[in-house]
Amino acid sequence: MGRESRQGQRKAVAHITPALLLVQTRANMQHIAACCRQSRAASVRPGMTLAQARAMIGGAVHVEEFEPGAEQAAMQRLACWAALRFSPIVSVDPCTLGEKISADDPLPDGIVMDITGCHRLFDRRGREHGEEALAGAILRPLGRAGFEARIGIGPSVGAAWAAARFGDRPVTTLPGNHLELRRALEPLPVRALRIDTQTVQALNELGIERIGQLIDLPRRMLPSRFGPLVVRRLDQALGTAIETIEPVRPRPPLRIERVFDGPTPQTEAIELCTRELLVELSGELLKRESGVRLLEAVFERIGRNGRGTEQLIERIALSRATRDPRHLWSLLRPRVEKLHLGYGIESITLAALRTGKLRHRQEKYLEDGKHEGNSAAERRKNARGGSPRYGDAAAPELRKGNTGGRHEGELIDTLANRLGPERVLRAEIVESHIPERAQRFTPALEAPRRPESSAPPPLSRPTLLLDRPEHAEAMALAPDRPPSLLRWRGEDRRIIAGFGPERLGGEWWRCHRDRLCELGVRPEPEAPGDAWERDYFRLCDEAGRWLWVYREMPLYRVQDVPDSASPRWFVHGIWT
Amino acid sequence: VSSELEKLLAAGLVQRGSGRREAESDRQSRARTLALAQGHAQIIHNDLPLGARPEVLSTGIPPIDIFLPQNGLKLGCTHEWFGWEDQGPSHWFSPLTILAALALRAFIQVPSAAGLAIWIGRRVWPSPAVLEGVGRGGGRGGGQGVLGRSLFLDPSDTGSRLWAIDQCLRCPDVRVVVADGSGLDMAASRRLQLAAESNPNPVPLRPLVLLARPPRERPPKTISAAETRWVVKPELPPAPGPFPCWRVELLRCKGAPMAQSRSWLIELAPMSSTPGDGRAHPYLAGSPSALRARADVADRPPPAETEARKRIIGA
Repeated sequence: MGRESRQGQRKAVAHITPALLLVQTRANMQHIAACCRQSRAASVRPGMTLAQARAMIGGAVHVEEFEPGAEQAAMQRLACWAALRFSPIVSVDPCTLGEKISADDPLPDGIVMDITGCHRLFDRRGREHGEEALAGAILRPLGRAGFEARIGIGPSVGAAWAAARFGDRPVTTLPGNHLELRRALEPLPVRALRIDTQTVQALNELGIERIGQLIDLPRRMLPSRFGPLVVRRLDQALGTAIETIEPVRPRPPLRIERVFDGPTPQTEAIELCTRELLVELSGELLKRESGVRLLEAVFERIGRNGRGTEQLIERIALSRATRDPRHLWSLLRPRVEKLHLGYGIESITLAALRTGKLRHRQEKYLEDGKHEGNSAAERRKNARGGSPRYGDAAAPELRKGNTGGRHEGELIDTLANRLGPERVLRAEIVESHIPERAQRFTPALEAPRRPESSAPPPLSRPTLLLDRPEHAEAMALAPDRPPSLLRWRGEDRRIIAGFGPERLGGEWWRCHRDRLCELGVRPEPEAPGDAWERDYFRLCDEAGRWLWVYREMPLYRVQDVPDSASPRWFVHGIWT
Repeated sequence: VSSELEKLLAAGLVQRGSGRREAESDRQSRARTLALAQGHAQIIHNDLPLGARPEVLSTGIPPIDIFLPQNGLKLGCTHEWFGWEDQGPSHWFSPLTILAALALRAFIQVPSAAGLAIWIGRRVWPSPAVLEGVGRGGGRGGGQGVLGRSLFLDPSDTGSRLWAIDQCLRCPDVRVVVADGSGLDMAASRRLQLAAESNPNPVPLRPLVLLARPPRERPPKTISAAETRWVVKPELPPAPGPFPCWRVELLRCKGAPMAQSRSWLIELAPMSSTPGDGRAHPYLAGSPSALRARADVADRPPPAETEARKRIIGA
C-alpha cells in the first residue's frame, strides 16, 4: 500500500525576536503578504495593511519586501533536496492551506513525497523505526536550516495533507486500514479536505463542520450542491480515488566513472584515462550549457595490505565556470603526477560538484576550435595535445570583452592551484577610518572582480603600510606638535619636517580586546570599543625618508596598569 | 604588418582620430593605416609625448622620457629597480611609489577594460588605499582604479616566485607585473625575458615587467638580462618641500650611450586637480599618480631648457 507523507512548512522565527513580515506594495499601500507565527498569534493576517499589523504586534517588527515567485523557487529547491535524499518522487504541493494573497500566486506551503518503501533505509537500530525514523531524518536538517516543519504520514495524499496541517503533533501518522483511517479523519474540520474557502463557508453555514458529518450526507446530493470537487477530495482523502504526484527532477552532480579491468599501476594509463574522462565531462557540460566550478577526481586505490580500496581525492576549485579540457587538465595534471599509485588504481571518477552557467558561444568561422571544439574527436585531440601554456592557446583575442576574462580566470586557477588559494588575493577597500582595517584581502578564487566602489578616494596614505604598527620613542617639544626626535628600530632620527596631526578616533562599537590583552588584562566581555584616539603625522627625517607616525592616546586608564593612560608612539607606514 | 595593426586598432591602443571617425572617408583611413604600418604614426592619446612609440611605456616624467632611447621603458622586457637599505642589509625597501605610478601609466596608455596588474611577493604589495587612489581621479585607465585589477600573490619561496612571474608573463590578460626580484640569478632573468617574449600579444600589449631588487644585489655582484637598471634612494632636496623626494639613478640602459650613470630627483607632487573640491589639500597629495621631476618651484617662469636640465641633473 502506498503511503504518502506530507509536510507543512513555515519559516521558523523562534530565535529571532522581532516579528517577521513580508509586505507587498499596492496602490501606495503596504499590505502584508505573509507573516510569521509570532505575528499570527497577534492576529495579524495577510491582506492587512502594514500600519495595522504594526499596531497589533506592538513590539519590534522586521519588514521585508515580498518577492513573488521567490517562495515557489525556494520550495522547488527544497523539493529537489528532498528528492535526492529521501524519496525519488517528490513535488511541491499545489494545494495550500489558508490565505492567498491573490488567486494566481498562492504561497506554496508544503511538499508531497511518496515514501512507499523508502523508510527502510532510515531505520536506526534500537531507537527509531520505519516512518518515524524517516520523519526524524527529514525534520532534523530542516530544523537546522531554520524551518519549522510538520509531517503527516498517511495512505493517501489527501489524508497526509490533513494530518500535516490538523494533526496535534509535529509528526502525525494515520493508519492504513480504511475503516481506521475514516475514523481518524472524521473529527477533522472540512477545511482539511483541500476544498476552497467558499465551499467551506457554504458547508459551515449548513452546520457541516467535520468531515464525519460530510461523509454521513447522501453522496448523490453533494456534487449538485457543492460542486464536483468535494466528492473527489473526499474520495482522495479516503484513498478510494487515485491521485498522482508529478515529481520534480533534480539534477544530480555530473559524475563520470571509468573502472579498469584490474588494478592499473602505470602512470601513463591513469593520465590518459583522466584526460579522456575530462573530454567526456566537458562534452556533458556542453550539453547542459554549464561549466565546472569545483571538480573532484577520485582515484580508487588498492589498499595497503592488498585488500579493499582506499580513495584518493583531489579537488580543484576554479575562479569561473569552465569546460575547457585543456585548462582542466593543466590544473589536474600536477596532482595526478604526484599520486601514489601503490598496487594500482581500480577506478577513476570525475565529478563536477559545483557548476555554473556557461553560455554557448559562436565560434569564429574557419577558426580552429581550440577551446570549445566542434566535434568530440577534435576535443579529444586537443586534450591530448601538449603543454598547458598560454602561449599556444591560439591567436589572442584582443577585442574588449571577446576574451571575457577567460585568460584572467585561467591564470588565477593556475596560480591558486600551485601556490594555494590563500596566496592569490584580491584587495578591496572597506569603509573604516582605521588604516589597518581599511582594506581586506580575499582569495581571488572566491571573489570575482568587483565593480569599483563608489567611495571617494582615500586621503594621503603611505605606499607601504607596516603589517602592524611598530613601537617607537619620540620627543616632541610641545603636545600636538610633530616630534623632533624619533627613535625607531634602534636608530635615532632627527625630524626636520612634520605635518599633522590628522586625528582618527577609535571605533567605539568594536571591542577593544586587543589593547587589553596587550596590557596583560583579561578583557571583560562588555568592554567598550577602541579605547584610544590616534594623531597621525607625516614626518621627514634628515635622510629624506618619510614616515607615517601616530601618537596613541588611551581614552581611559585601566586599573592596576600604571602606564595605561600615557600616550605612545608608533610608526605605521613609510613612503617608499 | 597590417594584421598586427588591425589588432592594435581593435584593442583601442591606436585610435583613428577622435570624434570624426565616421566622417572620415575610406581613402583617408586607408592612408592613415598605411602611415601607421610604416611606423610614422603617432599614438593619438593625450598623455603620450610627441614621438613616443607604442612599444614603450612613457614614464610620465618628461626629462627621463627624453633621455631614454625610445622615450620610455620597453614593454615586454624586464626593468630592475634597486631599493635602499634601512638599518642593515636585511631591511630593504622597494621603490613602491614609482612602481605603482608606472603601473598606472601602463593602464593609461592602453585604455581598455581588460588587463591585470600583478604584485608578486609581499615586499612589493603597496597599501591598497594608495592603489585605490591611483587612476580614479582623472577617470582614465578604463574608468577603473588599479586596485580593482590588481592581484596580490605571496609565493612561499624563490622558486615558486619565479614560476609565478613566468606564468603571469605568458598570460595575455596581464598588463603589469611588479615582482620582488631578490635572489634571481642570470638564468632566471633570462627565463623571464623568454617568457615575456612568448606572450601571444603584440609588443604594445605585452606586460611591463618591473623587478624590485635589494641594493646588496647591485652589479657587479649579480648580473642579469634586464633592459634597464635603476637605483632609487630617498633624498632630502636642497630646499625641502612638503612631499617625499627620491634620487632615481639610471645605471644601465640597453641602446643608450651611457658614459656615466644619470640621475634625476623625483618628487611625489600633489595631484594637479583635486576631484571634488578644487583646493589643494596637503593630505590629498599623496597619490602616486603624480610624480614629477623636481626642477624648481613651479610658479617661476620656466627657464631655458638647457638650464633646466642642468639643474635637474645637478641638483
